[in-house]
Amino acid sequence: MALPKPEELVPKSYQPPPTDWMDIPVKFRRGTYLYGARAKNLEAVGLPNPREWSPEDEDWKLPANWQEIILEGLRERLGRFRSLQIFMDCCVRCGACADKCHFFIGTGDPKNMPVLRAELLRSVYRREFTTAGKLMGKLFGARELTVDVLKEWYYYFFQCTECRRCSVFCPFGIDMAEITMIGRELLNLVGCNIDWIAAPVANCYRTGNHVGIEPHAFKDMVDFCVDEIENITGIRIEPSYNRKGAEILFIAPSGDVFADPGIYTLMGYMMLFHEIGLDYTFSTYASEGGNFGLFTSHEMMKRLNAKMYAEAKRLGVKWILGGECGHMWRVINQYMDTMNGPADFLEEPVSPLTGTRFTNASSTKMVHIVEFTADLIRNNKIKLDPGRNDHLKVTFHDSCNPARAMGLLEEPRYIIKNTCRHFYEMPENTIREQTFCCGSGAGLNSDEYMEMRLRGGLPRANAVKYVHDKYGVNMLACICAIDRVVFPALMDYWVPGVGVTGVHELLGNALVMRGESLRETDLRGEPLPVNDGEAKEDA
Amino acid sequence: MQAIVTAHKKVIIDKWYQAVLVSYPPETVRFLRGEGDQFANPVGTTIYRSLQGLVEEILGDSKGDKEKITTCLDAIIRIRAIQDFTPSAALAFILQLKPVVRGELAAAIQEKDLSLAELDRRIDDLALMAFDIYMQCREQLYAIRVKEIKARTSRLLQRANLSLQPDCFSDSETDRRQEPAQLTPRPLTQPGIAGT
Ligand code: SF4
Ligand code: SF4
Repeated sequence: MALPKPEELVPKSYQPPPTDWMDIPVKFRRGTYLYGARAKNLEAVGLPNPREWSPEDEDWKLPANWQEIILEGLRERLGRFRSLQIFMDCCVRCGACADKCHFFIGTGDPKNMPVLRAELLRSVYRREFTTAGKLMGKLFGARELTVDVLKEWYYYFFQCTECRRCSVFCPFGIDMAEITMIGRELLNLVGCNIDWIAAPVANCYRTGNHVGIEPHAFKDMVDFCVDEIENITGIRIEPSYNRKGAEILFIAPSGDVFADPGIYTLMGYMMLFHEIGLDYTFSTYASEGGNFGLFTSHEMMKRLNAKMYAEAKRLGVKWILGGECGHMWRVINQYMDTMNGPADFLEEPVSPLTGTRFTNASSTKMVHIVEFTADLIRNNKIKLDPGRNDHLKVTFHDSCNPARAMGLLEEPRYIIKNTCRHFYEMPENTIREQTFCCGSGAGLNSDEYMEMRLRGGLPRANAVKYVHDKYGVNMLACICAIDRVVFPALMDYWVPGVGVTGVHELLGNALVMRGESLRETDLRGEPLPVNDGEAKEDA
Repeated sequence: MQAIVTAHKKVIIDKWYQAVLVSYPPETVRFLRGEGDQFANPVGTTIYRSLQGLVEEILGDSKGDKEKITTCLDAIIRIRAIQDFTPSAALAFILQLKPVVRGELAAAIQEKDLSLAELDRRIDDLALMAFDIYMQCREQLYAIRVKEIKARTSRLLQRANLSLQPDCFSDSETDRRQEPAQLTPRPLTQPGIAGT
C-alpha cells in the first residue's frame, strides 16, 4: 500500500466542496454538539415530546407531524413578531456580518457566518411562505424542511451565543440573536432542546435557581461567605433572607453563589452592602438572576422571570438591585417590563446613600449593581485602597449583554479604575459594542461542548493574549456570571497565567471597611502584595 | 544555499500558507487570506506569523532556536488541535513544507546540485515535536473540562465535605442516560447538604 501524501491527509470535505452549502449534512461528533434534553427536564415544565434521545441517533423520535408543527409555529411567529418577518425579507446578502461571528472566526465553518445561519431558517421560510420560493425552489434559495435540515438547525442554532456582535455591523440591524431565538423556539416545539438549557430551566422552575438548590442550602452557601469574610476582615456580616419590609431585594446570578470564582464576587457585594448599611434582603426563592428561559422560548423566559416581581411584591420591597450577570440583564432591560410589568407596586429606584434616582430603571424598577456602585464611588460614599489590588494587571471583557443590550460600558470601567491601579484595555475592535463573546453564552457553557467553546472563545482569548504579552495582564475582569464560569477554562487553554474576576471582587479587596482588621490576604486567601498600613490607620 | 533560500523565503512562506489554507473551506480561505487585522482574523494571522517564524528558524544557517520553534508550532497546533481536523489533517501542514521548498527551489537545486537532506531532517524533527504539542493540547482539553466541572459546584461540595469521584466525569452518553453527571445537583449535593 502506498502511504498517503501529506496533502492527501487533509480531508476532502475541507477542500473546495463540490456541493452547495445546503447539501452538506451535519455530522455530530463528540465535543462539538450538545446533549439532547432529557425527558424528565422537558416534563418538568410541560415541554412537548419528552423522550430519551441523542443527536447522534439516526432517529430523533420526532412526532409524526413534526413538519406541520414547526411550519405552523413559524407561521404564528411571523405574525406575532414583526421583526422576524422583516429579518426574513430584508437581508441583501451584503456580507458585512459574515466574518464578525466568533464561531465563524474560530471554527472556519462557513455555516457559522451569521448570514448563512439566518439562511438556515430563511431557506425554509422562502419555500413555505413566498411565491418565488414555492415556484423556483433552490434557485431562489428555498428548500424543504427535512430531518437533515432540522438537524442542521439544532447544530447551528445551538452554536450561536445570541451575542449580537454581527448585528452591530449589519446595515439593516438584522438581529441574528432573535433569529436564533426563534429557531430554538421552533426546535422546542418538537422536543429538540439541549439538556444544558432544559435542566437549568426545570431546576429554576422548581427551586428558583439553575442549580436546583433549595432554600436551606442557598442560605448555607451565603453563610459560608459570611465566615470567609470574617476570616479575612474580622467583620461579621449579617445578611437577611426573605425579610419582609426590607428596602431592597437583591438578586444575584446563582453562579456567584455556588461556583468558583463567582463566589468572591458575592463576597464583594456583601461587604459593600454591609459597609454602606444597605437595608436589603436575599430571597431564597428568587435565588437566581439568570434566566435560561431566554434560550428556550419567550413563554419560558416570562414564566421564569415572573418570580422576581412576585418575590418583590411578597416581601414588600421598594425596588430590586441585581448582581453582575449577562443575559439576566438582557431579559430585565428588554423584556421584563413588557412581559411581567408594569411593576406599579414598586418605586422608582433611588440610592439611599446618594439620593441618585435611577430614572433609566423607572419602569423596570431594577438597577444593575455596577451603576449603583459607580454612583457610590462618584459621590465619595466609600473608601477604597486600590493598592490592595496592586498585584493585579487587569483588563476588562465587556460581556455581550450588558454591553450591547444595555450600553453598560463606562460604569464597570469606572469601578475598576477606582479599585485597581493597573488597568489595560484590549484592542478597540474587540471591546465595548464590538466586544467578542466568551463563546459559551446563551446556554452553551456545558462541559461536553468544551472543544467548540474553545473555538468560539478564540477571538476573545486572542485579544486577552495580546494585553497579556504586551502589558503582563494577569486578570480578566467581567460582569457576567457565565463569563466567570467559562473564562477560566478558556484562559487555561489559550492564555495561561490569566485569572478571572468579577468587578465586585476587585471592589471587595479594595474596600476599606470600618473596624476591619489588618488584611493579610485578598478574598481568595492569597497574601496581599503590600502591607495595608494606611487603611488600618484610617480604620 | 543560504543566499538562495533567503531570496525565496517570502515565496516559500506564502506558498506554504496557501497549502495550509487548503484545509479550510473556500469561503473561509477568502477571509483567512484577506483579513489582515490580527484581532479580526486571529486564525489566519497567527498561522501566517508562525509559519514565517518557522521558516526563519529552520531554513536559516543555524540549527534554529528550539524555544522559538516550539512557540510557533504551539500557536498553530493549539488552534488546529481543537478545530474539526483528524490528528493527521491537523499536522499535515508540517510535511507540506517539503514539496513547497522543492517546487520553489527546483531550478536552483538542479543548477547548483544542492542537497536538501539537512532541511528534510529538520522538517522531520518538526513533525515529531508537533506530535507532542498536539497531544498536550488534547490532553489539556480534557483536563480543563474536568477542572471546570469541579469549579462549577466546588463551594457546594466543599461545604458538603464531598469530592467528585472520577466516574462522575464519564463522557459516555449511555452512562449519562443512566446516571446524569452534569448539571444535576441532586445526586451530587443533596445528601451532603442535608448532612451539614
Ligand atoms: S449573534 Fe453572535 S453567535 Fe450568533 S451569529 Fe451573531 S455573532 Fe455569531
Ligand atoms: S449584514 Fe445584514 S444585510 Fe448584510 S448579509 Fe448580514 S444580515 Fe444580511
